Amino acid sequence: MNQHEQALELIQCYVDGLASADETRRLAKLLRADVEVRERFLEYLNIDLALEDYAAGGQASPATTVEVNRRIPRRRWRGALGVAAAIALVVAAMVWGVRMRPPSSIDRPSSSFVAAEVLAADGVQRVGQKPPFATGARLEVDRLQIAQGKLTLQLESGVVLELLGPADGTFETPMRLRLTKGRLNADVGEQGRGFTVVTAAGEVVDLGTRFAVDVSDEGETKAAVFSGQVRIDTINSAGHRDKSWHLGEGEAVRFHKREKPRRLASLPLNLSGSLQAEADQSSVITSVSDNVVDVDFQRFYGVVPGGLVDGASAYTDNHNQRWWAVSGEVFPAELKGAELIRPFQSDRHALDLNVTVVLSEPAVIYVMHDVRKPPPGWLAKDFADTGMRLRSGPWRPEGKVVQDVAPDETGKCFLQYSVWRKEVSVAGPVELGPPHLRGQGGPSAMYGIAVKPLPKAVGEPIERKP
Amino acid sequence: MPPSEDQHHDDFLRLFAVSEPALRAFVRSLVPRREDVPEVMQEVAVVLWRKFDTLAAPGDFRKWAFGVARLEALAWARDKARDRHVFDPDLLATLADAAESSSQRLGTQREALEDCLGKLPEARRQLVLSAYAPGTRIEQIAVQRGQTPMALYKVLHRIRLALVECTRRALAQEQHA
Repeated sequence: MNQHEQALELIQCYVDGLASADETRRLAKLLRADVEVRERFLEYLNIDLALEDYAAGGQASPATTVEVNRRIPRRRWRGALGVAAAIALVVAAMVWGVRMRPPSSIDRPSSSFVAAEVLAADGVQRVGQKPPFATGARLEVDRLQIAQGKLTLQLESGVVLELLGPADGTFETPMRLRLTKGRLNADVGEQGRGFTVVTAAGEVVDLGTRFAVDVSDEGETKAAVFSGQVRIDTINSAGHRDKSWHLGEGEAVRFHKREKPRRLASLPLNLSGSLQAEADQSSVITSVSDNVVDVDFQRFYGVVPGGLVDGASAYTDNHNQRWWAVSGEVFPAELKGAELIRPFQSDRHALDLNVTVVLSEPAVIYVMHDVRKPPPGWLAKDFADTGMRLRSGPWRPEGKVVQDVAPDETGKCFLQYSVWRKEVSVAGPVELGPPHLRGQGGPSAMYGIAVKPLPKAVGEPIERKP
Repeated sequence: MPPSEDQHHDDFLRLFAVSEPALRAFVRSLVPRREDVPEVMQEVAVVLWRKFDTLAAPGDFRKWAFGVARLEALAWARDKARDRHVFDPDLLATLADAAESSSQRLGTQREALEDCLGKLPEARRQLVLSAYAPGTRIEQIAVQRGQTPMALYKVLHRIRLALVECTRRALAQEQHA
């Protein structure tokens, strides 16, 4: 417990009349030493007193009035009685006046307190001078404003929110969070179905899922689905709900107010497969895109910094298939910790596919190719087979992708991949071709992609493609 | 012509009523228990009324009243000097300075409280208001809720923290409005 949390606990004990002599002494020490603790102390006491007034119906403390009567010298008794009665009336009128005042600017935007438990607070720095979030703490929150770090909360509805700083969100109701800036991941349980993230561009409505929302300073909203489905409601120029779109697993879009959502081709992910914080994004891979022009195609490539490890999810449209070392071997050291690009399985039959990986610095690109097929021309020509092997799985034995693969002793199917590499000495776009050659029928899997920066001398300038 | 006694009373009433919430908040910051506030405020009201004749100008009332409240609170604390739950005079003087210089901001914070109470879930709002209702005993509410008193105090603490944060934001927004 840090000093401010300790101070708040002591203040609570003091205010409730529960502080021991030792606790009073410790609070006194903190109050003497820290001006911020003094400020908190005064605010807390102020709210305590105001609550007492409010709960009493806005009446001035009756004890004050009665005792004034008793203690005013006898020769002034009549006058003092009048004073006392009038004080009560005037104060009551004042408080009534406060209660009846029209809504002021501070009432907007509307918000609602939501009970939440802090599941984790990794490097979280709050905006303003506020006490830090403590793991395990139970809070009443209406606004979440963090400058940096990752804050994970579980709401009463069971919804787990992961806020990635810098971010600013306000609960409009326990089931509606208005995100004005920043990124969040939402894992919505059964009770939280219907949880909605509201942005300036529209609404992302959960339909039982795990999804992410990213709101830029320019008002653009990005939404991605990791499992399940969401509905996206865009808003028109009058600010009303306009049209709705559905987004499924492995799909992502970006949209502004009054715009139809467009495909978001690549998304920074963390090792858990959720949206990555901006500060932790890959510094080697700038973007990944392809030549698919179908307007209804919304699949995204996931970019995971340091993501190629034993057990890492291989694709974005099915997180069950993972990368593994070949049975009986260790995971190749050269590949371990490389930046992982997660493509989607549905591309495995795209014979005209071109994937573009934009590098921010010289790097080695690795392509993991399904060994059941000969390498396509672009791979055989520009890349070298490293001799390293990986496997993906487990695949459902009844699935078409593995219809020619025998299950292992556990009844699961795994596919083997050859690992190819190419050194790229210039920063810029690198083109990758289709997963296999035209005319090669039969089952096959989409290739995997990984990137590792080339070691460079200190101060060496980065050469870029024009 | 000197003011009539009634006029004198009216003047005092007006000035005292305006400053009374701030004075009570000020006194509250210097005494350890809510129940101690009325006792000190009674003394403050008595002294203010008794010495009202000496006030040079109505515009000086607030500052003068704070001075009186400070002396009365410190006198009260001196009487309790053996009570180790009361802060020492030096710290009380520091707190009095801070409370006096913050009195306007704290007044605005009190005004923002109702809006913030309105943002609480209904169950929480009812709970906190019932806990603060006159004559309420925390132990009774705890029994009704099937909680220990300490657990209930913790719940109330969280609600108060939320209200402090909410009123802080309200103040910040008003300052930027």
